[in-house]
Amino acid sequence: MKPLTVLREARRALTGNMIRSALMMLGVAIGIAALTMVVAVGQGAKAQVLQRVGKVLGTSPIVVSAGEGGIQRGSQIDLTTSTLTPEDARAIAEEIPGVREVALVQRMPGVVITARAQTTTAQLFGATPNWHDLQNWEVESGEELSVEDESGAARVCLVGRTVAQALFGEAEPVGESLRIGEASLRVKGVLVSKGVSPGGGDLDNRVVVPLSAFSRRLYHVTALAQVIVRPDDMGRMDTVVEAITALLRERHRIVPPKQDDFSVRTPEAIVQFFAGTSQTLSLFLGVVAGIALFVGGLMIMNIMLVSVGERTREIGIRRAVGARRKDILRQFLAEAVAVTLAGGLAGVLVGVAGATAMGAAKDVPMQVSWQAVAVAVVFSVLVGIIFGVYPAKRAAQLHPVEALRTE
Amino acid sequence: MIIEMREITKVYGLGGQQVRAVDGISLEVEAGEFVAIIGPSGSGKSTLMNLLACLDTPTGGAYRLDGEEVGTLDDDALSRVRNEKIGLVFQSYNLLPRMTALENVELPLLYGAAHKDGAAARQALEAVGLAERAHHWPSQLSGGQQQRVAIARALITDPAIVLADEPTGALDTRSGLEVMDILQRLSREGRTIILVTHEQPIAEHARRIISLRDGRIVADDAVAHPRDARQELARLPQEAPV
Repeated sequence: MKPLTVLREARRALTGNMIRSALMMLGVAIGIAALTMVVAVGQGAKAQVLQRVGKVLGTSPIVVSAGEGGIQRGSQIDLTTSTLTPEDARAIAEEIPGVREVALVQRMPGVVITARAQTTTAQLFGATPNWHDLQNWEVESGEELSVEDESGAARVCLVGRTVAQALFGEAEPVGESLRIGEASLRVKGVLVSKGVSPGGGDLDNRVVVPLSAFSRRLYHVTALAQVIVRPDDMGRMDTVVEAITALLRERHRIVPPKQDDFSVRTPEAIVQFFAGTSQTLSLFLGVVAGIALFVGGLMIMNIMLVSVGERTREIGIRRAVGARRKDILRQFLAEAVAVTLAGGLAGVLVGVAGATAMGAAKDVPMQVSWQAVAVAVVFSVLVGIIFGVYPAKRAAQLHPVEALRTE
Repeated sequence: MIIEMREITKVYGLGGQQVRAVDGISLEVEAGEFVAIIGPSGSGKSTLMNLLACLDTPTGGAYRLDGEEVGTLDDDALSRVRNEKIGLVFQSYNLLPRMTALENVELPLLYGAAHKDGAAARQALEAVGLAERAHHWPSQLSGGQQQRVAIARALITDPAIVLADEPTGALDTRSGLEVMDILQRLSREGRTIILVTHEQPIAEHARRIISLRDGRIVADDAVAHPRDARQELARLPQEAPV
């Protein structure tokens, strides 16, 4: 049978029993609609996370952190981790080609800060002045840390919005002073608000002091928490990351299987990490939609088996006039695929409409991509083939004599 | 020789017991013959019919159809033989209800015979006097008309033999005679026809009658004076107009 004939016969059979065809289509449509909506929610959520991460990181540079472990352990690192040194930073800046600049950062979580009668707890950072530039983080009022502040270990600091609010309320913090332990620091500027991090932390609950003040006046440490590296060419990020890793392994005498006592991450890796968490949710929802689709497939198989039973005589007649087994197989398979394809397309339409409506009503981010639509359509065809093969085979295996004898 | 059967047997296993539905039949039919196969129910004529029609394969023996050994063919090859060499007419017409008369006639063309087209189907319908009913559904046709559509379908591929299995069994006398008239006309045109029936008067329209009993041929006689369906039709009392 010619392909066109197969399709015509499929259409004839499907229009011949509209209710049955509609039921079969419905089975697939529900599953595909669910799948489309789930993918839309998942991609929307992912896009939202990426957007948030992107806003925070900007055109972030490479970050070398002290201590083993990835991004998720970053906040656990404090002064007890002393694997990363200013000498490491200098080596990175001087020995690795393609590195333009490095900023040195130390930090201390949960530091008690007081001003006037107010007390708050914030994360304290010591940073070299080029940190503003490399981290792309400016002040909204006052001044940034300067080279003189660093060289003189000046008793100055910058505060994040949250800290400013907690200590000074609505009053202008610039020019005020605050205390950390025994040291008194003058507030030089207020950092631009960056809101909540992708991981949920408040990025504005921080105080930044010159690194020299941090390590000489406040804590007497020389180790670093982070070295922020800006390569000449963002496109060569990968080779720079490799070179840093190799250099630090050499300097720290790390030979596998010993684990690295540092980690190097690119903004890309961070983005991927946070995108991954929303992917887990998408996967779960996808499994649920997959089950719906599976049930739809079973429904189709069931209806088709009934259909084969009812059309036994038709099969016998077709066989008697010369249809081969594979002609019958193709005919029933074509019907199954036609039905699931139509159901799939209907499902995509309903899913897109549903996603759009939900996105508008609940302010949930939704994103429908043509890839998702293509996948849904391919899926519906697959359902047709997978669940249509068995009934179609049953039809094809009928013996012509017995098929003709059936009433 | 169109049909050449040698010692054909068909054995069914029936609850551990073996039934020899066809028990060593040898049969020769020449091109252009009009043969009736007659016998009571259980004589094996349906089984023989299925074997002749290549709907079933024999347990033993050899079957040559139109110069081709078909007893040992696989399913695909048998389908092709059915499509190209055999035209089947059934007692219950076996038209597909969701196809028009014309589409039913065209059905065998879907599975081969690519050189034929819709024009051939129209001609075949014309030959059985139903040209103006081409776009009717089977349910809109009388039994006799449906059977004539079935005959047109059997002829569409220009088969080597036409096999008619109780073609008048479901019809009234007049419609039955009309069908026999068409078969006799086809025979006169040189078509090889094999008619399976249990009614002696119907069988007497053929020129040769083969009698079956218990899966064996018990008689094979020429008919000296075959009945003429056209004359019989003429003798029938005129139908009251409906």
